[in-house]
Parts: sequence; structure tokens; C-alpha cells
Amino acid sequence: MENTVLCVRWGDKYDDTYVKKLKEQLERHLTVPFNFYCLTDNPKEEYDIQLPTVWDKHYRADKKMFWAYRKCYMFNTDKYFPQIKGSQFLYFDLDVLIHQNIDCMFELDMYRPHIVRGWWNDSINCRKNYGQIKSTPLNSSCIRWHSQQLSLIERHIDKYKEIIFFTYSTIDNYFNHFWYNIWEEDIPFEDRDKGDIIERLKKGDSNVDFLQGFPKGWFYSWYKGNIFPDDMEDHKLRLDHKVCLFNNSYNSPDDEMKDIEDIKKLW
Amino acid sequence: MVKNIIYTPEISNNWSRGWYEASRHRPWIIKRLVDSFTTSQVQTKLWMINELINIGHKPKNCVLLGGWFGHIATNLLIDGMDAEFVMNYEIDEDVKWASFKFNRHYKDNNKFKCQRKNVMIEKTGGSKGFKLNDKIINFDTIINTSCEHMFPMRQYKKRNQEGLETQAGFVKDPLFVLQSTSDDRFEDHINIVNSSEELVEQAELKEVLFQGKKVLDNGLERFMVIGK
Repeated sequence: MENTVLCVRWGDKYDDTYVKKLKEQLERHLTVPFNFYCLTDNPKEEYDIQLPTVWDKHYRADKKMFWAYRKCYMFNTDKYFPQIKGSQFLYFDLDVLIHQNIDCMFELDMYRPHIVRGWWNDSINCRKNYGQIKSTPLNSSCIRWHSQQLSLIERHIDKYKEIIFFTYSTIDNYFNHFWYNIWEEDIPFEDRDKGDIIERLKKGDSNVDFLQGFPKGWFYSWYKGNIFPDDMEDHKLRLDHKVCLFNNSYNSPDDEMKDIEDIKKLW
Repeated sequence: MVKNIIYTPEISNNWSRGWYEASRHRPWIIKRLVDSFTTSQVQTKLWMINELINIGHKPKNCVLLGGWFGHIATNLLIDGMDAEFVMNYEIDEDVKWASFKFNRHYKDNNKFKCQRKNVMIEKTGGSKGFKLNDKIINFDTIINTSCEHMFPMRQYKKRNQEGLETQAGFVKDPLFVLQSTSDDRFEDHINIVNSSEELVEQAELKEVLFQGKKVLDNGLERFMVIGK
């Protein structure tokens, strides 16, 4: 089973230096063989692959709702990127700092896909704001899945794109509403016993606890801290963790990456 | 004209227990519970009930879409208008929990139920219709007093087209009662409207029995339409 690392770059927020830096970090911290691709709206390098545009018309630029939708094409590689090799996928945002060897990310139990559970978010606050579609506990800066495991999410988005692009400001909020169960996140999956996910989806269940968080202690946030409430110092390097995420200053469409220079100083 | 909620001994018991249990077991919902009991919350529900009376509609089986805790609306529909059953569809697990606490005696008497559902994506009628004593309930009154929080109501009708056309889970031409606002100060007001006409258009209502505007105690402009 081949390992494949993906990233996505569109627009002009990040130039291709970010892609090169990510690739360099992976070459340094990932010792298992892996393919590398960047899905982009402006392919230049041999690892670049053109992003589809089929969902562009549903994006309302004035509202910036569901603004990172381009990240969701990769969930269905058979449909959009048949040229991509490998079946064990690991996705990274471009604004991450990898501190340590991350081979373990390809050794996880893949019964369910993994996403970053931002433990710097207060679980109670996430529950409190659930109905208001904000304060998501999830962070899609890193996602791990195999083969077509996440294609059901791509199909779900495609089926309900009009509603999803209208309702959800971020893809993480969408994931939280449909694919994660914050009320039962402390209960092991085997004890939840709610039946087969596909069967539940067929029956019309709109919230299935499909995604699971990476192990605690792997990721932390440069802007928000590590674990609520005990270890919340921001702008602090934690070299005993595997990855530092830089995108967590995003609270509304108006405050995208104000501190984008921070990561450059630390590369 | 209905001027107040119907504060029976049972309501007194359920609401006081509801407050107590929420503060004990889920204190993070207290702020929202307080917000659900404001003057404007009561005003909007009384407005709905009185306009239903004015058009001569007698609700029997009602659906609250995104009905939040559903305490005031359920009380007014069942004790104020003799409705037989109220179903509250909500997306929030904590809200569902509290909704049962505050409507406990209705629930114990098979008059109230709350289910977690995204009503724009999941069907509420047809073969997915709610069954009580093995019989699908055909809802006659579909109430959404929080349209500003969700996708336009035409989607609900589209999603339940089969049930609406075949009268599975719905009576023929059920009544829609919809409220929304022009207030855009809140992030979660993703679908504000500027007139009752806009609300009619969003829901693709073919027959309008009432439409109007009210400025609430909190200064917000609220629109309501009732139609089919």
C-alpha cells in the first residue's frame, strides 16, 4: 500500500514557497516512502495537479461561506484525481510546522479516518455553540484516510452543496455537524454501537460519528495553545509534539491569517 | 385573544425541575434557557397563536422545525389551542435533552416528542414520518419561527415532496407558519429577510392566509407568514 501526502493551494494567500517548505519538512520527518502532490488552481511543478472547478459556482465570495471547499475534492480521488498514486492518504495544510518524525501517521488504525481534534478548544464551549454553527472542535489542517474512505463525505457535499455552501462558514463546522459526535467523543467507538455508517446514512441519519481525532499530544496550535484549560500558552513552540498548526487565528471571514509572517520566521 | 402562557401546576413542576436539572447537569445551557424566556420570545409565540386563531385554524398535529427548547410554543399549542401532538426537530443534543425536561408532562402523555434532525437534509415525512403507536402521524401545522437560522424553507418542502404529495407524514396542504427577521447583527442569522413577501417567496407558498410585521420588545423587526 503506497503512502501519499497531499496538500492544496489556491488563490494568492500562499505562494509556492509554502508547498516547497512543506515538501522539505516531509522529506526530513517522514522516512517511509511517499508520493507527494499539490492540488492547485495554478499548476507549475511536476507534483502539481489541477484542481476541479465544479463547486466554484456555489461559493458566494461576498459571504465567504464554506470557503475552503477545494480541500474536499481530494476525498474522492477516483472521481477527480485518477492520476494520483497510492491509497494511504495524509493531507496537510500549508501553514504547518513539523517538529518530529511522523511515520506513525501511516501506522494508525484506519477503521475510521483521522482529523485534528483541537484540544485547545473547550469542549463545553463547542457544545454551547453547536447550534450557532461556530466553535468547532475539529481542525482540518491534517487529515488521514485510506483509499475511498472519505468519498462518502465528498458525495454528501456534492448532493447537498446548495445547503452546505449556504449554511456552513467553514468545512470544520460542517464536519462537526455531520461527521463527528462531540457529545460522545469521550466514549470509545466500539462502545457507541450505533450500527454501520453506510446503513445509517442510507436511512437518512444526518449525524454519524465517523471522524476520529488524532491522538492527543500530536498537534497543537500556535495561536490558541495546546490543551484546554491547563496548557493554553500561545505563540509557544512545543517541540515534544509532532506538528504545530498556524491557521487557528481564523474566527471569521475577516481575520484570515493576520500573522502569516510568524511561520516564516520559524521555518 | 390569547395574552399569556397557560401556567398549569404541571407546567410549574416541569419548568422548575427543568431549570434545576439544567443547572445541575448541563449548566452551560443556562444562558440559552434564559434567552429562550425573554419578552420577545413570548411575544413571537403569542403572535403566532393569535394569528392562527384569527384565520380559524385549529392545529392538531404540529411540527416545530428548529424549535429550540419548545417550551412556550408547545404550551400554547397544546394547552392554549388543544393541539394533540407537537414534534420538535432540533440539531442540538443539549437542546433536545432540555426540551424533554421542560415538556415532560406532554411527553409522558404522548403529546410531545423531540428528535435530533437536520430538517433541510433529513426527511421528516414519507416513510421516515414519525410513528406514534405504530401509526405515522400526519402533521397539519408546520412551524418554523427561526427561518433566519437556516436555508430557505423551499428546501424543506422539496426534501419532503413525496410525503407532502402522498400525504404520508402530512395532511393534504398542511399549514406553514414561518417567522424570520431582518436583523443581520448575528453571525448565525444566515438567512435574513427584509419583508414578509420575501419569506413567502422563500417558502414558495401558493396561498397566503396571513402576513405581517411586528417590532418586538428587543427592538427587532420580525416577519410572519401563514400559508399553504
